[in-house]
Amino acid sequence: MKQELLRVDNINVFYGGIHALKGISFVVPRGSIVTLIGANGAGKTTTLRAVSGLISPKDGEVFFEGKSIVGKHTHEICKKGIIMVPEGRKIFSNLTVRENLIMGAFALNTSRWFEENLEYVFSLFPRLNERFNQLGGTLSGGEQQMLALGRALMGKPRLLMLDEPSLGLAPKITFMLFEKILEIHKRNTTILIIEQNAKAALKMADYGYVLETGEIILQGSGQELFLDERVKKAYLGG
Amino acid sequence: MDVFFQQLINGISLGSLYALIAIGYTMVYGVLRLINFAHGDVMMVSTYFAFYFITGFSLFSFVIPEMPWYVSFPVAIALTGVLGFLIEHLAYRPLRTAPRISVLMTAIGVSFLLENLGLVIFGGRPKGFPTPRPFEEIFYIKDISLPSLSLLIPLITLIFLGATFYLVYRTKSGIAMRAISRDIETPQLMGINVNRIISLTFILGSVLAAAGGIMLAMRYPQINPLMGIMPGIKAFVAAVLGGIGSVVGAALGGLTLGLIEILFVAFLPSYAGYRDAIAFFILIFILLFKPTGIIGEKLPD
Repeated sequence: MKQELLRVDNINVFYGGIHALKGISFVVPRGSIVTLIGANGAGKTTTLRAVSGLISPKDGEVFFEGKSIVGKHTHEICKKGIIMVPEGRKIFSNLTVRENLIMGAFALNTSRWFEENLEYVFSLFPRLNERFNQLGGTLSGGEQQMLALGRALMGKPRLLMLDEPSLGLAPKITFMLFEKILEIHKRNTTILIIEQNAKAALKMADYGYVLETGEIILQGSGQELFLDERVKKAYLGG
Repeated sequence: MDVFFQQLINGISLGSLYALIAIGYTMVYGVLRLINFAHGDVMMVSTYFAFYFITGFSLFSFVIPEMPWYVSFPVAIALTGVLGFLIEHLAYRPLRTAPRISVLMTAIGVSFLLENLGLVIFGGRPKGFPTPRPFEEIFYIKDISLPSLSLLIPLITLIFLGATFYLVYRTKSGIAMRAISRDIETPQLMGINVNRIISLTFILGSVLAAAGGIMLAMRYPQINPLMGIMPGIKAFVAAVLGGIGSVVGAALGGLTLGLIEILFVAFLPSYAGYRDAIAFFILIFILLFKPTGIIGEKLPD
């Protein structure tokens, strides 16, 4: 059994009167890729937002490296090494690529790390080097996703959380993106990914959880879920 | 020609002051989407800080002696920065998730509070502002007489603007300010303490307003607790004219407004009574024909 990096323990989240997460529990082992799949509104994004501290669960616990992080500010949680790439990329369109990457490394204090991370990001996404002084808003969708990933990597994540990275991208670019995500994973980054493209997500994940209306209804290795009849029917298109 | 030149300098000098104050509006609007109506009153308080340090005062049993201007002014400016920090912390921060209209009402409330506290503490009677010697000299270039203040104001403004641009465009905190102006949530995912950046914005805006306010007081040279209202509104117009949210725009807008105002009075003296109305006329004009201002960017929906 691999050591666990993140443990979410029975969290409940409410939006006004709506019970969005009903006692969700899952584990992300160190060095793994874990995916959450489910229909729109199942609570996938809410789960990531609860982990990153953007919303606080009513009860339940979230442990990162054995320490509770529930109720901490988002920027503090980020400094512990949990970095989320939000849905829709959310790059800063009024900042240049360079400034976006500087923001990604905001929490790091030394410029030595900055240079080192920058080199790593450029090696993954040479396109960002070409567009270095261009405004983020002028990039194409694919480039924006590269920037969003690169920006997250600038902060040296120990747990990288990706919310729908393939949203709105052409299949070819999505394929390239997943290759890059696997490459990032090989460099010792644990990944928690949400994908509407359940097929691709399950293929690369070590372990997966299926969410339905705020509950985990199924879990198993990526392979198991990929072959599961219910999953096939509901999320893999037959 | 000489008259024109003299008025040009006057216009630039007044415009510089509007620019300094306008930047505070535009930066706070940038990070919080809030028109900080108390901004002009913060400027007013700064002039009283400067006044009391220059003339000396006693607080409880402490007697603070008169201090030279090069001590008084920086201390007054720094204290105004603290005031800006406190206003944000006490009045606006608790409303971070409240509807925007609530924050706007609070800003108006803070404005009234400062004005009326000013009336109670400082007294309603205007005080003559003791303009220090170096700001009072008069230069002659050929036939043109120029008060040193008219030359020093643009110069000092330039220094403050340079420092502001450096901070906003070259430092990590400044980049974070611009990031927050588009999206207050995502920067937190990068480990940015958004509240700290917002505090910094208020401090910087108040410091600039203080610098502008003290120079305005010397220009007049008289201060009273309601003196912040009109320059405050005009600086707001300047910020809108330049394109609210843009620091460069605020500087340009301030300069433009100051120039228009002075040249209007200089060349149409019989209409000088309408001097303050020009700002409002420009505001209406801008809102009708170019709501994004001179270099205003289109905001994404």
